[in-house]
Amino acid sequence: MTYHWQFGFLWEYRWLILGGLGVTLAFAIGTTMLGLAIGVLIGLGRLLGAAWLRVPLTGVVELFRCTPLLVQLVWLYYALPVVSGIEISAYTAAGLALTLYVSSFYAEIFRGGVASVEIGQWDGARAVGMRRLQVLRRVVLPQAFRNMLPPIMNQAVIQLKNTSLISTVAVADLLYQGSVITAASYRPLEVYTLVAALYFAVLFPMTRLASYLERRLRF
Amino acid sequence: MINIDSLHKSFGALQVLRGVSLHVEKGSVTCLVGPSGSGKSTLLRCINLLEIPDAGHVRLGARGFNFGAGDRPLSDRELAAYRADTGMVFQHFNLFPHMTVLGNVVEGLVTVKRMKAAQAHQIGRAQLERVGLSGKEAEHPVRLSGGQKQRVAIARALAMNPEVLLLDEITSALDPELVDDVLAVIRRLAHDGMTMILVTHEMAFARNVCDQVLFMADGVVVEEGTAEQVFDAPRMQRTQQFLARYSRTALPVRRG
Repeated sequence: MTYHWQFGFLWEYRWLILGGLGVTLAFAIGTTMLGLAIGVLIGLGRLLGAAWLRVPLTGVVELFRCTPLLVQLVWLYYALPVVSGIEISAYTAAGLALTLYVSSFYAEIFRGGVASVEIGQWDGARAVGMRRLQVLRRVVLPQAFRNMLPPIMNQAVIQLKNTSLISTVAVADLLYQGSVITAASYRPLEVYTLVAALYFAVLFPMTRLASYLERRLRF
Repeated sequence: MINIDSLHKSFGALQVLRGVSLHVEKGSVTCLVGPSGSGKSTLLRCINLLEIPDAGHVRLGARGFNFGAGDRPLSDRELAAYRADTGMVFQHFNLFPHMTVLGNVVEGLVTVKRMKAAQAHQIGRAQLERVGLSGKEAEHPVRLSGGQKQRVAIARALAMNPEVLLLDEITSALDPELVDDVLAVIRRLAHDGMTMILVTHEMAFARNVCDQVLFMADGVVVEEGTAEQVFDAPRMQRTQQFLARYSRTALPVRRG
C-alpha cells in the first residue's frame, strides 16, 4: 500500500505553525538563559559556600536531575496547587519546570568546568598572593568557562527538544499545534513530518555553531 | 631570616613531614635533596603555606606562625598576604594560558598589589629582560619552549619582589638542552643576593651554587651542612647511599 503525501494543505495553517514555533523558541531561549544564570549561581554557592548552603543546593540539584522533566512538569501543574494552594497557569508551570530542570544540569556543568581546570593553576595563582575569589575571577573561571562552552551548547540543544514536553499541559508550542492541526486535517504523517523538519531546521544550525565554537576556542 | 621549627605534616594516614627544622640566612641559597617521597616539596610548600602544617612553627623575617591543635587557623586573607611576599616556581610552570607572557608576569602586581598597569608593565618588562626573554611579552605561553616557560615563571615570581624564592624541581620537566638556560638564570639570581630555597635533582648545580644543603629522607632531615660537607664528606650512611647513585659515571670495564 502506498501513501499519497500531500503537504499543500499545511499552507493554510502556516500562522498556527509559526506561532507554535515562536512559543517553542521563546521557551527554549528564555528557560535556557535563565537556567544558565541560576545554574552558575548554584555552582558558585556550592563552590564557595559553607556547608549550610552547599548541602541544600546539592539536594536541589539532585532532585531536578534525578526526576524526569515530564514528571516535574505534571507535578508542578497538578500537584503543586493542591499542596500549596497556589494556582499556576500551564505556561508558568512549563517555564518553571523547564528552568529548574536545566539549571540543575548547568550547575553540574559548572562544577565539571571548574574541576577541569588543572590544580596547578590554583597553585600558580595562590603563590603570587591571590585570595580564593581572585583566583576564581582572574585565573580559574575564565579557563573553566572556555571548557564549559561545548557542554553549555549541548545542553541548550537538548533543552530546545525538551520544550516539546510542554505540549502535554496544553501550552501552544510547535508540537501542540501539530496535534491541533492533525485533529482538524486527519493527516498526521504530513503534519508530524513537518514538525520534525522544523525542529531539525532550528537545531542543526545550533549543533554546527557549537562545533565551530569548540574548534575556535582552543588555546 | 627564615626559621622552620619541628614541622609535621600528614596527608590522611601518610606522614610526610616528621619533625623538620630549617634555618635560612638572608641572601643564601639552600638546597633540599633526597629521594622521591622524602617530603622536600611538601616542606617547600609549607614555607609559603600552600600546605598548612599540622604542627610546628614557620617564621619569615618578622612574621611567625604557629601551627598545632590549639592554634587559630589562618584566614584566606592572611595566607594570601603572606604569600605575596614569597615567590614560588613550579616543576610544571603553572603559567596562566589565557594571558600573554607579560600578562602572566604582571598579574600579581595588578591584582594583588593593586598597581597601575603602566608601572606594573615597566616592572614586568624589566624582569623579563632579567631572565633573557625581552621581546616575548606579547606571546602566549603555549608558544614557548619549556625553558622559556620556566623563565617566564621565574620572572612572574620575581616581579612581586619576594623576600625568598622557592624553587620546586624547576628543571625536572625540561629537556636536557633547556636546563642550562634556566640554571644560568638561577646562578645570576644567587649572585645578586636573592634568598633561595631549591628542591633539585641537579646535584652538580647544587654543589656549585648552594651555601647550605639538606638531605631529606622519609620525612626527616638526615644530614645538613655546607655543600662540601654533604656532597664530598657525607657522614650518614643514608646520604652516602643516595649520593652513590650520582657518582656512577664510568662505563663497565671489559674483562679479558
